[in-house]
Amino acid sequence: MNRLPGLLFVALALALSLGGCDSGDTCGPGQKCDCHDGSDCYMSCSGSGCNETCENQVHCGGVCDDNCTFACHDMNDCTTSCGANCDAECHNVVSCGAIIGPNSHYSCHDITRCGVTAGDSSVIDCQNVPTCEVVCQGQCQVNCTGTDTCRIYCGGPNADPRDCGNGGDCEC
Amino acid sequence: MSAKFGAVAVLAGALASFTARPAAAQNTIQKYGARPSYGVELEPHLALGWIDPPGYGTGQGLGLGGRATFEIVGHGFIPSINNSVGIGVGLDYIHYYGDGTGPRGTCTQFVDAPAGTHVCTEVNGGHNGDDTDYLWIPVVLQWNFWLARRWSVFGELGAALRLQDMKDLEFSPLISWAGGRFHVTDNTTLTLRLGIPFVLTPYVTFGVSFLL
Repeated sequence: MNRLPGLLFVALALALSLGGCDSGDTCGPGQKCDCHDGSDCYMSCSGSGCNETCENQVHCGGVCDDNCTFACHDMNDCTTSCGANCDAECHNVVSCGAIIGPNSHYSCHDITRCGVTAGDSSVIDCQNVPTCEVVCQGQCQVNCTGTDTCRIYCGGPNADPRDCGNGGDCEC
Repeated sequence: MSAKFGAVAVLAGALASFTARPAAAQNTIQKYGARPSYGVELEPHLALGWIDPPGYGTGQGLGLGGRATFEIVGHGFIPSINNSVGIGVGLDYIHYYGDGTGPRGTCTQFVDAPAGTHVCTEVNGGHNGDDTDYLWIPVVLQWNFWLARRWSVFGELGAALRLQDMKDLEFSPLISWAGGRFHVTDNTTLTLRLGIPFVLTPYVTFGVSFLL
């Protein structure tokens, strides 16, 4: 019986030291933050230069700051919210939505709906997207290919939409 | 991670066999009062998460915790057998190591965007990769059955608060455990507690109880 506390202490110490072997990765700048093969997954990454990816989900979304890269594919819906100078892509998804900061690039292709609120001096590409709508908060460029509806709202969501048509390029 | 749990299980088994005596296993279940007299059971323990916890944690977990159980009914719900009832309050910290599929945060704010889309702009959790830390605070009713001099078993039913990622407080309205004690001495036991079903109570504990 006198040995019991000592043995328990050894067991606890061993268990905790084994647990300490895990790398404990985090979604920080310079690290890849990835969701895959699940139902719902939402990621957040603070700081400049985050890298978020998402694939084979039902719902997925990423929130990140400036200079962020984001890519998602093969799911029902995917959303992106990022700061300035971000580069995001969404493809083979039913619905892609994004709020991107100034000087950013967003690419939608092979999806059903793509909706983007874009900061100044951003570029949005819609390819093989039946419905593509973009609200530009400043100057921006929208490139549509293989779209049924491609609209751009210059200045805000309440502005009169401009129909970019199939294959047209629009600018604010 | 399974190797870690295997190591803990082997240690637990070794510990039990090391301390076991060929001592009397007299049946006490029908002898009212043939059990340790105590007012509170204090139980430090290891906590092992076998499956994904509720919320955004994933994978298996390992941690430490404790339970204080206060006897409230010395002669329990069934008069003809040796049983008693207590109220238990616990605190368990578990680090979940993740299953490699992502951080699994939850979106707390969606903003309308063009084309009828809704964009997530705020996320709870989802920033620690696969790893998450949980703090569980269970409160349970414990029903004890004093089977033999060396053995007792119990069932527990209650609810728990859980602090996900150590910052988001959630409520688990129904949790339950089944457990057993090996009485090393009359008032010191090795105690194993299994969450049943795992989907409601996704962790088990192993520790030492002091019946005081």
